[in-house]
Formats: sequence, C-alpha cells, structure tokens
Amino acid sequence: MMSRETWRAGTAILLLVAALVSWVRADYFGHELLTQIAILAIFAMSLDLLAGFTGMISLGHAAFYGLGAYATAAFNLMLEWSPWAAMAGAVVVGAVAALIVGSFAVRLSGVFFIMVTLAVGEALHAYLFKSRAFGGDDGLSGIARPDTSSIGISFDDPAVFSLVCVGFACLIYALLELVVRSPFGRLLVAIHLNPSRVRALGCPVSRYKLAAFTLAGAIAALAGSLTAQHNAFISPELLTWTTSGEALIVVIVGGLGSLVGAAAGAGVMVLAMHHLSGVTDYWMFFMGLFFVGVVLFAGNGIYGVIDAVRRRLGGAAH
Amino acid sequence: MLRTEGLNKSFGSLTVTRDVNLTLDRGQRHALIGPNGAGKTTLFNLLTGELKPDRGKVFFGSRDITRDTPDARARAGIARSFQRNNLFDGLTVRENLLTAITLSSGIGHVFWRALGKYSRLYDRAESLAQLVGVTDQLDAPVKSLSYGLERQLEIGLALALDPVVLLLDEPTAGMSPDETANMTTMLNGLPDDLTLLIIEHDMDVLFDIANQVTVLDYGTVLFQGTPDEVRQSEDVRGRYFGAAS
Repeated sequence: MMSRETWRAGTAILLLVAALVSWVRADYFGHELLTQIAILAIFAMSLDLLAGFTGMISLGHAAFYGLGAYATAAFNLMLEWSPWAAMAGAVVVGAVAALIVGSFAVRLSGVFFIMVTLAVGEALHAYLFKSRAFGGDDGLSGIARPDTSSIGISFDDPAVFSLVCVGFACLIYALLELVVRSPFGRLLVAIHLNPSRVRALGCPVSRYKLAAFTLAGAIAALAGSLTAQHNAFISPELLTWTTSGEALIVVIVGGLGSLVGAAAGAGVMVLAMHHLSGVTDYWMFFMGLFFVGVVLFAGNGIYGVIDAVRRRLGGAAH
Repeated sequence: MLRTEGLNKSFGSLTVTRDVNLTLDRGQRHALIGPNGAGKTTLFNLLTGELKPDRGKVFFGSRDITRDTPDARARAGIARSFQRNNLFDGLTVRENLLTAITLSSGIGHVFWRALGKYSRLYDRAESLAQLVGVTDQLDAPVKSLSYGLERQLEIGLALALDPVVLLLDEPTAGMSPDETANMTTMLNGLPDDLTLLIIEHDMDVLFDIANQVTVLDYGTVLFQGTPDEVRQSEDVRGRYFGAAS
C-alpha cells in the first residue's frame, strides 16, 4: 500500500496542477476566484493546524485574519510602509496577538476554549467597528500591492496576483506539512488524543498548544494581509465570527487533520458558492444542505474519501 | 530518592490520605498494598502531581517537588503507568512508543525536521517493544490490541522515559496467568538502580518483586516492612488477608 505521506503529497501535487491548469485557462474573473481560493486555503490550513491536529476548535480565528488585514492597511496607509514590509509586519502582529490571546485561552479546553476564542474575536470586531482611526464600519481602502515594475510584471494584474497567492499557499502548505511531520507536530496530535497522558510523559502541554496557536495566528494574518491587498479594502466584516465559522466549515468539508484536504475544501467551497449563487438566490440554503451531507455521509470530508481510495487500492493489491 | 512528609489529602469530608510518610530508597522495589479505597491511587497521584496535597510535602532527592506539575516531575525522572489503560487510541503501537520516546529524548520542540529522520528513536521503539513483548504488534492500531497487550504497552510508555523512579498502578490487573508471569519476569529484569513503587493485588507477583511493602488502610500507613514481615504481621492479616484466607 502506498504510504499515507506519499498519497498526501500526490494529492497536493494534483491540486497544484489543477490550480495551474485553471490559471492558464482562466479569464479575469477566473483569476479573481483563484486568488480567493488560495487565500482561503492558507487561512483554512492554519485553522486545521489548531482544529484538526491539536484539537483546538476556534471560533475566533478570523480575529487574526482580520488583524492581519488591518495591520497591513495601517502599516501601508498610515505609516506608509512598503507593501512587503506591511505584509511582514502583519504576520508579526498576528503572531503577537495570538501569543497574547493564547496565553490564557490554551489553558481551556472543549466548549470553554470555543467560547473564549469567540468572545475575543467578537470583542475585536466590536472595537474596529467603532474605531474612527480604522474607518469604523466603513473600513479603509487604497491598500497597495507590492510594486514589482522593476522586474517588468505588475501585481495589479489579477493573473500575476493569483499566481503569487497560489505560490504563498504552496509555501504555507510545505511549511505546515513539515511541522505536522516533525516531533513537535506528532506531539500536537498526541495532545489532541490524550492530553493527560502526554503530560504524564513529560510534555508541557499548554506551551505546545500556545506555540501551535501562535503559528496559526501568524499564518492567518498572512492570509488576511493578502486579502487586504487583493481587495485593496478592509472592513470589520473580516473579523466576524461567521468568517471563522466559514473557515471551520472549509476545514471540515476538506477533512479535519489533513492540510491538503483544507486546501481542496477551500477550492470546493469557493467554486460551489460562486456557481450556486449564479443559479439560485437560495444558494446559502443549498450550501447548508451540502455541508450536512458531507458531515453525515463522508465524516472525514473530501480527504477522507481520497484516503479511502488509497486503502481500497492497497487492499486490492494484496 | 522519593520521599513524602506528612502527606494529607481530602475530597470533601472524606480523607483519602492521612499523614503518609513514605521513603523510597534508590533501587528499592517497594509494593503498596491495601484494600480497595485505601488511597493507593490517590497517593500515586500525589507523587506524580496529578493531585496536590492539602498538607505535607513530596521530595525528589533533596528537592521539594510538592508544587511541581506532572510534566515537570516526569521530565525529572518520575514515570508512571495507569490503573486503567491510558494510551493514544488512533495511533499504532510504534507511534505510541515514539510519542513517549520523543519526549524523553528532549526533541519535542523540533518543528523543522521530520520525525522519520530520527532513526535512533525508531530503534529505541523497537527495543522497548521487545522488552514489553509487543514486537509483533508494532504497526497495529492500539485499538486492535488485546487487553493484556495494551497493559504491556502501558508499561512500555512509562519505561520509554528512562525513569529514575517508576510507579506502576496494578500492572498485572486483568492479565492471564501467562501474561502475569511474563510481566513479573520483565519487571525483575529492570535495572538495579531503578526505584520501583508498585500497587499490586496479586500476592505472588508482589512477593516475587518487592523487597519492601507498605500497607495502606483508610489513607493511613498501617504497616511497613519486608514482605516476610508483612506476611507474619497479625494486624495486616486481619485487615487485609482476613477476608481472603
């Protein structure tokens, strides 16, 4: 039987090929969709590290996504940093914010962790909604993308920007895949399965959870920063708990605990939303039905189905 | 090596540990016996830090570890097994052992290198599997193991920490006579300088392994001595063996 790792890598390559083929064939609007998918994939993978691997279901992950977007806008528009510097700054802001929130949140588990992340997200949303400096509920616009005219390409071209976002998604996938295969990543899974036993084996569980939470916050902020540059606009909408909830749905549809599943889930959700909303005004209703169907009939989501094929093939070969 | 001073613990009005003074010398094989509800597992939890005492102290060597967390105590060299199998369901036997070995090797924080590249950890997992007799099941999911094999893996996880002090909570409970015999042999083969505290109901196992016995009753130390002294003590007979013999 093909190993789980090989199969996962194969699926990831297949997904990348699909992205590149659709990039070649896409028109202006197609490139916009691809950008959306890539950014959502980054955001969803960061949440999967928490929810799928470490067992920390967060309903406030959009707080770090939104913070990344706001930090990008603030650094770019108010401090006039270059877009690259603003992006790097946003990742740092996301990491620091996650470190602070995580330092008390990771001590909680189950429904208490969910509620605290939800409360933090909503508090931040409420603050930005009222904050004059950050444009209140109108948000801020005019965020620039990196200027690469010196090398003869323009990030303002949707074709270029979508490819850049796909590149970032690949980078984050590679980074997180390394993390989940590392000793640290294997321990996160062990913490998920049996926290008290890992503790009895000498693992400072809270510190490990905090490290995962911080890393996930930094990556979510990167996704937020890309979104800010993509739309050239930010609003408090980015931080609402429904944004967190949608990311969680993407992760569940893709398959909890599989990074490539989260990325595939992002593709399926964006495309399904796009096509359904063109057909019917009740598209949200059908998306809901689809989600219920996935949870009921394919408990481990898209990647669960893909992995079942691997096991089937392995079974047939023997 | 490990010592308690006037340890007390109550749950509400129920005192489960009362003024317990216990000293484990290096290399000692110390058995903890007593009827159900005598407070044996509670004493274990006080030693490993899962519970904090209401009064009294725990010393490891010369250091006061009363306030140390369970993970800090494990890192210092106090390992335990659990009365009920407490494994990582969903992982294989090998992955279970690797989890413990990763922690004892101090590489748990490494996030930039795949675990698969640490071949010495895999070697260690295999030698541990051999020691506790789960070699044939290395790639089997834990859920598929028989109760006895789970029990053996449970001990394997504790041994993976290379402990200075090993606390075993009823290691042979629920095992077949063959499995019990294997376990006894394995425990007798452990390094001489390892300090062992074992809760055990099987008197044959106990007399085979232990060179010191503490009898707990209603949370207090009823008797302390060698296995022979315990056997001859009228008091212990009445309280503990009374119902059986």
